[in-house]
Amino acid sequence: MRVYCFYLHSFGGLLYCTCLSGLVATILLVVLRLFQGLAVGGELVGAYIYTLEATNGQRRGFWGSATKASGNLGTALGMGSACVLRYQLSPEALSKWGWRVPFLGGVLLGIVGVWLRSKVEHSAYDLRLLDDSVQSSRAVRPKALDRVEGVVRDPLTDETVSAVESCSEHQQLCVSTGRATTLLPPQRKSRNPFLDVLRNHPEMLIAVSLVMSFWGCTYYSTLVWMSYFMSDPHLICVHTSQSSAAENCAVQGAWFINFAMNCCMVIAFPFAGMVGDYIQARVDKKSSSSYLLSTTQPVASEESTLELHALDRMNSSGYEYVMKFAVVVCAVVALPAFLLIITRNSFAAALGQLLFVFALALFGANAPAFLVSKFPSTTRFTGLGIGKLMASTK
Amino acid sequence: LDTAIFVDSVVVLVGDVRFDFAVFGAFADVIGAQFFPSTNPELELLKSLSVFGAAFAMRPLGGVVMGWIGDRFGRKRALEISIALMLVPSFLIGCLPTYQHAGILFLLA
Repeated sequence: MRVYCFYLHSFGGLLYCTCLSGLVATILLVVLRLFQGLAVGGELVGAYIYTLEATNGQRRGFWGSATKASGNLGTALGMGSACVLRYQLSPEALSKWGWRVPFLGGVLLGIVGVWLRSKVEHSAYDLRLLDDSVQSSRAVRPKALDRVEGVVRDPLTDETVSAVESCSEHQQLCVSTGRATTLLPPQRKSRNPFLDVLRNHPEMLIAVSLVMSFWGCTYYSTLVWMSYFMSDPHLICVHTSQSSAAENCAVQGAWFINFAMNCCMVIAFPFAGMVGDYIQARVDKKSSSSYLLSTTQPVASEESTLELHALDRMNSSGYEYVMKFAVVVCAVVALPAFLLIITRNSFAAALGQLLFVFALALFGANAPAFLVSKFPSTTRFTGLGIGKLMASTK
Repeated sequence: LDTAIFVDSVVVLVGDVRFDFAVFGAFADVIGAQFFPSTNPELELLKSLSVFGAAFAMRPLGGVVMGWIGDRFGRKRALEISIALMLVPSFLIGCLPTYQHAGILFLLA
């Protein structure tokens, strides 16, 4: 066979032989996987920004945590479906076709998501970008024009900017509002968001990446890799005084406990986000400045022309208080939780993990609100992207 | 109401992206056996995990690339690209011929 391959290879200069073409499948797999990594890199940060901008910064804790929870739910479902297939199928069936099922099933779910997405409006920031492209006389898709009335509803654009020539292009909008149309001056987006962030907000990059790495370290060590620790007798038995048999040494049902705890986390997220919203509302109320109060009421000031989105002038100190509290809780809870886990009793171990779930849910649910408020609209996405690059977690 | 639909759609998409990403990790050993043939099964798992790790190396890079797109061309565009980059490869991985089958297919071609 090797001779045959060599013959074909040298003859045609082509890679048409079994030994090499088999490798093609492997290489394709790696390449496809790399693309997936690229996709997952921007998706969660993008979803935070998209969601919080779309809700105009109201109840940031709740909406941010809902987004984060959906990510965790997706991961949990992926692991759950793998578990079900492993239990239900024979090893032969699993390796023959079983592993393909969740990949193809995920596509169906994705199509539903794309279809839903096609029915909704642009984010407010996107509308501004579209406006800019209208003014720089670039072609605008008809779909964008349909949606452009969202601009008027936005509280920040209540002041009038002379845009008579654009008005003719936005005929529909001018008629429907019956007043001079609001359009932002062009060049509102950053020319180079990457340099902008590095130059103007370096300290924020560090803050954001530290917050992201705190989440990554604690979440992965206590709720993801913990299942390996709990199920591997070589790891967990080191921490026990008894030298019992390897079989009954590991925690029973470690994988299921981890799955259940991840589900608890998903359920806890929205409530933890509501706690953050409550604290933030208290902070806003206490603050004497009505400027910070204006999460719902439009403020027609000169300054607001410099801002692209309501989020740009919101503070997030309430969410920060909750996150700081959560970090302290994590530190306090860590020792008892680990002591519970190394008792090797399933219930005790679950309880230990549950302690982490509460502390981490408080932190993670309010993190999106914190992260999103750290950069202005023009560089928000890039700033969080670089923060992620430095933290290298979700 | 519109906001609710909108957030729903984002939530579905994020969930799906994570789902697709996690499935690979959960089937690392099975996929390893199919695509990294070797007499040593531990080596297969290692190779498959290295693919998983490669995706993790690509993740932070993806954050910056998508960030650039999101700030320059809009959030919606960035999320559209992100979901396409997840769905299409996921579908293709589901259809990919395995190491052995690819060999036969190429011989027939």
